[in-house]
Amino acid sequence: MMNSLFKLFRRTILAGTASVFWTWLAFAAAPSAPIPGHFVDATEKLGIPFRQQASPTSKKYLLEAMGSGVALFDYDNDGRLDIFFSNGARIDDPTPKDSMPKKDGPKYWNRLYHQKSDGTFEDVTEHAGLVGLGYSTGVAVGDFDNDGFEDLYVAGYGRGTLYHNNGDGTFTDVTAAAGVAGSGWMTSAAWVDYDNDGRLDLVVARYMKWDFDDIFCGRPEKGGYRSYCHPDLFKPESVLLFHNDGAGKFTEVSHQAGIDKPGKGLGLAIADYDHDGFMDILLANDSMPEYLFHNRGNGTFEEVGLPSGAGLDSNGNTFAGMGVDFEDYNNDGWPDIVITDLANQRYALYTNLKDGTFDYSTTVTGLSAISLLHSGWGVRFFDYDNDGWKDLLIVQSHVIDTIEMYDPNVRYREPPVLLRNEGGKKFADVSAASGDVFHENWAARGLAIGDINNDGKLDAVVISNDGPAWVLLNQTDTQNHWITLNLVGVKSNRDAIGAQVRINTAPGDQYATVTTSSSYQSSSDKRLHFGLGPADVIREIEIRWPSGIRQILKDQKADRSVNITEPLK
Amino acid sequence: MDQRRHFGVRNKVRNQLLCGGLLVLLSLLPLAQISPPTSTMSLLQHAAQAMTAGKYPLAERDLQAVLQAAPDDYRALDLLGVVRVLQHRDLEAEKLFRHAVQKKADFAPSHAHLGLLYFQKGRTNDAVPELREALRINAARTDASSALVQILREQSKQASAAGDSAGSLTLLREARDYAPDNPDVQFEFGSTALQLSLWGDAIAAFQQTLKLRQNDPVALYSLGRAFLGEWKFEEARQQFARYIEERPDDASGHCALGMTLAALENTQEAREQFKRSISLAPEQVESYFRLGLIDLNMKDLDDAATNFRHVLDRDAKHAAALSGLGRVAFEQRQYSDAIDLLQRAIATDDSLREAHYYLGLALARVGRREESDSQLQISTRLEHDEAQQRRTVLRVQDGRAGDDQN
Repeated sequence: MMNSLFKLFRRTILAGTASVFWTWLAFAAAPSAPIPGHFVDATEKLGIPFRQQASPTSKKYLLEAMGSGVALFDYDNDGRLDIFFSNGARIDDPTPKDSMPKKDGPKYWNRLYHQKSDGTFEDVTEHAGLVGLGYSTGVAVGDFDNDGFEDLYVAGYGRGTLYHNNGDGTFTDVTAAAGVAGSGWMTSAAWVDYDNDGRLDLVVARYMKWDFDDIFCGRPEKGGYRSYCHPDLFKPESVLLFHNDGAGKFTEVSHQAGIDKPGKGLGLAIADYDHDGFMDILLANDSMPEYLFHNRGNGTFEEVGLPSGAGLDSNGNTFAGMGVDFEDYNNDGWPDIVITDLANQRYALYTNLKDGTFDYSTTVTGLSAISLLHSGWGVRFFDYDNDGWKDLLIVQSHVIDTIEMYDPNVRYREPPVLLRNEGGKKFADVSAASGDVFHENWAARGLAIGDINNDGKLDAVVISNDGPAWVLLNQTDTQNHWITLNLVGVKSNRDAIGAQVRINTAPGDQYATVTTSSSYQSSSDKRLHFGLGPADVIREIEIRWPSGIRQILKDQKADRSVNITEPLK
Repeated sequence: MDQRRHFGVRNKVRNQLLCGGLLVLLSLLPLAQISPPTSTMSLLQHAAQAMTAGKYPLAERDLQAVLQAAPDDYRALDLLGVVRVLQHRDLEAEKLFRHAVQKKADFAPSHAHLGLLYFQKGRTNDAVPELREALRINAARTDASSALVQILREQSKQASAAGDSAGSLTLLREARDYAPDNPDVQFEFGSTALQLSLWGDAIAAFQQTLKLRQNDPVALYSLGRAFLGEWKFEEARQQFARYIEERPDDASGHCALGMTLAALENTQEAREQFKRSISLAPEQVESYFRLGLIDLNMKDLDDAATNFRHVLDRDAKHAAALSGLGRVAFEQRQYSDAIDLLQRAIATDDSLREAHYYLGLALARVGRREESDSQLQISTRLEHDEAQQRRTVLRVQDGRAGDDQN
């Protein structure tokens, strides 16, 4: 039954594509003039004094280079997005081999900033009980118990922490009872209902087998400096998959699910790339092939990164996969992949060929020339100008703080980059004209996207390594229309993570998947935002819920946020 | 060493010995000025003046007079040795120099003269330690450094011819230490470092060559190659651009410039350089191949195929072009053709990682999963080996385990 529904969905996509073919042609023939973005740094004004503490040492422990993450979510259901930052911990110089860093002071605390009604933020960390433990890395938002309040999983070095949202502005650490502490160096995490049982399961990427062993890497004869070691020196580590058994209990099923292939995972993203109705998982690996875990639909996965064409670059080279997103950039209904990496590797863009395989499209879309000398971490497809095409925001920095001594053409601190999607064919770098923030050099790591001020334009929050965070408000000058969809699952998981949505407007179709997890160690607003271009009405919204239920809404007005609850059938 | 070169060396060495004699004289003069003249000093001065004037019997008379009074006077022994060399009485000269160094081990001129004498006789193994000792005592002795550098360069060539590039580089490194301002030595060092993929060392050497010999086209080209090896494409581009300013009609220069421009994603200018290169040397394959790669990456598949076929028309076993054509077929979803072409590429060159990778993908597309996995594994292993090789090279370059950064 479920499979036939998905086939129907696929046919709908194909039919939809055909029916709008002529309108697409008209749209393509008269593209709107390029609109640069206008992003303003509102961090100070909004009251976000956060600074990430990496605890850099003379020993150059790799942990201190990899940064932390950020989450944009509405923890108190007041309709305004709040911000959570994960943070590092104290690392001694030197640190004994088997040590676990501790948050032994407020500067190391993770932080929760609550958005007040006037749009400014207040630090509610202590009250919320989110101070944290150890060296925190990634963060994933998901309502694992379907109680209507967003919960948090905070990954870290040595252990992760699951915080249950009590619904009263406080959280409770339920890690032990849930059995999701994990182990090793955990990086990104993702909530996904991989078996469509209505409960969110948890995937946690792990980087590699690493400890505070004092390994010298660098060039001692050239000024005596040392550097961070290449991941090739360390053994890979598999992701962890925790099945949500209900009643607050999880079971680690990585091996049974066949997802325990050792990797060097940094970024995680989810999408149903083959339209079989089950969410697949993309793991961005550092300096080894990227992993695409195809969900077989029977509780197990098959890793198909290499044969699918999404494992390597066009020359068959590995690259340092860090941030990732898994969305449909060319509006053909099939999720595509973008992965950030280091300078001289070029950000990888894989276009979904609709048959379970991908085409490396970095060069032909212009991303190659744009990214040649840049190193990217957090990345997200988002439509900053509401023209109906998902653009790219990428936050950048090399991993090695001394890289300029090795390669004078590469910079450690770099500005973020805003890439405008030109009709699903090319990306154009519009950073230079998109605000002062695109001229500032940051050691950025995590990135989350969401409409912070509910003005219909997607904003961003960036966290740097051993430095400040930035709230970037989108003030792009555009009259383009938009709509935000907040899906509420009933039979499906309440967050509707995994729900796939097609909207049809006069210019054509667009597609998106509900997810909080992508980018780098970060979690974005789960609400789906669509730019509509000149269309002020959405002719049709089609939702395929994870439960298999298909829902269609007709003639929806634009420029508003709409709550959509899953129908009973 | 052939006879002409041998005689050349002999004459040069004799001249150097004469100059060396003058050096001794000059080194004595200040002493004579600050000390009251002694009969020994006067005699030595007279002898040196006579030698400079070519009056060897007169010089010998004075020196014998000194030695009669002081048979172990190392200065007289050394100068008499020089006279003997100039008289072609080499065996006696050797004894006199040996006697001198026996009496005063830190007397640089005698070590130098002994080394030069050995060099002249073709006894380079004996010459090297004497010349090194002379330079250890007095690094400013150009007669010794010049001869030692000549020997080291010759030995380096022999080592290189025998396939011992690392040994060759070691010899040139020493030669470079003795003659840092010799552009030929710098260039040879750079070239050997380039062969060993020691990009940093090669770059430093070629840069030094160009300081000493501005706009030397060969050094510019080599420096560009070294920068390419280190993935410093912009720097490489600058060198190749300077190279084609010097040699505008050199097809290889335009091709190399095109390669760097392509690496810098400046595909339009890269195309122009490749086309210019082809117009200068239409029979070549490299520029056609590079054009094919650009077309392939830009998904201009028909143009890519045309360019790869141009290559194959000239060289039917060009593995990379076969692989490129295989990739075109793969992109066109003509998997059977792709498999055939990629297998042919691998049959020609089984280390072609990209061919294994696309063969793996093509086999996966037609459902031959096991064969696909095997090819993809080979591709991954080859890449890993390449990375290890790069890292090993960098370790050699650094002299210790290092450069393990991303």
